[in-house]
Amino acid sequence: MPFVDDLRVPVEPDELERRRFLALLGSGALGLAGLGAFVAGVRYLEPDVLYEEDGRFEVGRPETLPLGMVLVCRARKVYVVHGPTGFYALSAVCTHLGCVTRHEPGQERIVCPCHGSEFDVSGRVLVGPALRRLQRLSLTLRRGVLVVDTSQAVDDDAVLEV
Amino acid sequence: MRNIARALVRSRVWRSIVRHGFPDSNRNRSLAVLSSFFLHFHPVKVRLRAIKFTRTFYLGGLSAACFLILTMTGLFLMFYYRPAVPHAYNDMKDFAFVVSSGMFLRNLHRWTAHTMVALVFAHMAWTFLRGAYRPPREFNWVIGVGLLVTTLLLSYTGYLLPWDQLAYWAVTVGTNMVAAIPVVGGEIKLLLLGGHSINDNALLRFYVLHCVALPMALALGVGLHVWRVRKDGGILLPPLPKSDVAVATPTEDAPEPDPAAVGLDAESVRLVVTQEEGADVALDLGDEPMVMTFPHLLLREVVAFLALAILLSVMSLLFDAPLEGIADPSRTPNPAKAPWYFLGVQELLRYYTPVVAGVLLPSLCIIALAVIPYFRVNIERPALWESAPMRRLALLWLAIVALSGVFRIGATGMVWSIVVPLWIVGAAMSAGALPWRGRLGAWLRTRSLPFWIFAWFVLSAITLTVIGALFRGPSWRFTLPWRDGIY
Repeated sequence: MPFVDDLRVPVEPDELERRRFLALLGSGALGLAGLGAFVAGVRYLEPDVLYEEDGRFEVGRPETLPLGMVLVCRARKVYVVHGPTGFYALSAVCTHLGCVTRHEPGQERIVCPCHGSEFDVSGRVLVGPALRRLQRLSLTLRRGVLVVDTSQAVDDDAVLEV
Repeated sequence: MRNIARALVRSRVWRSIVRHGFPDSNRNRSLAVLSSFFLHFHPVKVRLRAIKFTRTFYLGGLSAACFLILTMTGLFLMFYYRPAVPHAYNDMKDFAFVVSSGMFLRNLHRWTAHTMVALVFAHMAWTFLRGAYRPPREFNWVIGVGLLVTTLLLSYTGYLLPWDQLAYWAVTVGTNMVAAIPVVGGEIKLLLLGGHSINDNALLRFYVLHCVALPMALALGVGLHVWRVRKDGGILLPPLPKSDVAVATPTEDAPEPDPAAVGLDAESVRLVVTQEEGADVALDLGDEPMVMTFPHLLLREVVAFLALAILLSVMSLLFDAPLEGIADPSRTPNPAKAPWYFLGVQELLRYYTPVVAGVLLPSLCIIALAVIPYFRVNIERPALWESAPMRRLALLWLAIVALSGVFRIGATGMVWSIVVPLWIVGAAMSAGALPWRGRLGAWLRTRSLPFWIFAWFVLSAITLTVIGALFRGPSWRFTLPWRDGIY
């Protein structure tokens, strides 16, 4: 049986162009299908429904929180502070790498155990490595009770006056 | 008894499984390697110098052996472990108190994982020092860097599974470092955790990555890695000194063995390692002493594997894998330390923002490692100090001072753990300019630039890790190891 070397079989210029076009079409379709599979794969891994807890919770009546007091809601990782201008809620999650900061009663500082960042009770950074201040969270008064929503961030100077 | 064994070996069934005779002749020994699926990645014969323990310390092979032990113990652990939040931690307790040999298996898995990370690092360093990354092996070095990263990822994903405080907070810090990647960081974190916090979804994803996706990638990579070593003519060996210059060149090579003692005969000479057509390898086997793979290499492999297995088993009997309290998302332990091989990065986080310490510097290190073989600067070049030594010294120290300044940019203080090693390396380099005689001076003068950069990298990594591991206490403040540095 003779060996046919298809690299040496002469091809008409038209035929060559047709083959090139088909090759381009084929590899283009393959590339598009690959891209589609990648996008669909990433989309698949993105959960559509999250069974995470609701960010809202009640703290208590504002009268029970005297001026200068820092209430530590440990389970929700939130500080509720009665500052000189009003009430505000601070996330206790360090803005550096997400460790939960600590605040001891009577102290002026909020300290992160992981990398040593320190904040004051208004959330400002006193000592690095954290660069951003602690996130203020939505704090509202509903039927005379303070309600924090951890899923809603607010401006750094937002306070609730009661 | 002997007759029974002989009859068995001669039976049709046996002959259908093992198609060659008993490996007591070099022909059958060759066939034992050639016709076996499990041994086919070995050549029939190996160079005696290549299988010497002190040539490689078997670091690559032992890393692979660790992977084998991890696969086996991991498989056993999977029979009891459930990757769900209420169960995972309880199953850890079951391993300790309820499952027969459960604690031993978990210990073995843990200590083997740590050993594997250490061995892979050592393998890389040794390969570098030997110069085995040079062409034509440069892409295999890149694969090796990929395998190192995969090993670290395997270790990292496994770290979350016990669901204790140690696991939870190490992974919290790690995933927030991922989130610090510009533009895509948040999305990658979401995909990795399957949510916004470390919870059931994250545990399941880490479990699947740890038990299926990453081991498959590693197994494939190891196969490719070993196959390419084979195609490049086995491990790198310095050329044999020619017999007429052998006296002039001092060498640490093994003395010429007696051919009869290593089993060389007329029959086996025909079975020389066949060379790939067109492969860019110069295998001059002229004077190279060769031995049969069966039994010389196989015996060494078995002994090395058993020594490792015994060592790790003894370790697992003596020391229990740590398990802290159940993960509590509202309470960060103080200090929260990462596993030892990430403590260097954690220590850097003390100085730099997460983008720099957690993303930029590690990526730069990995990229620098991967591209080493594509710069031909390491290959035989004249000594640095031969011409204009004073000018070159001044340039060197200018570069060192500038580099020290670069590391101060954006840092909360002087990063001594990186800068001091830089100065030490600079001093060692400069010492080569002194008119020293003797071996030390010659050694200092003949080191190449990549060697010094690598030395700096290793020295900094060790310093950062040691400080992070031993000299950091609560709130990551400096402390002494015997006070409260060790956790």
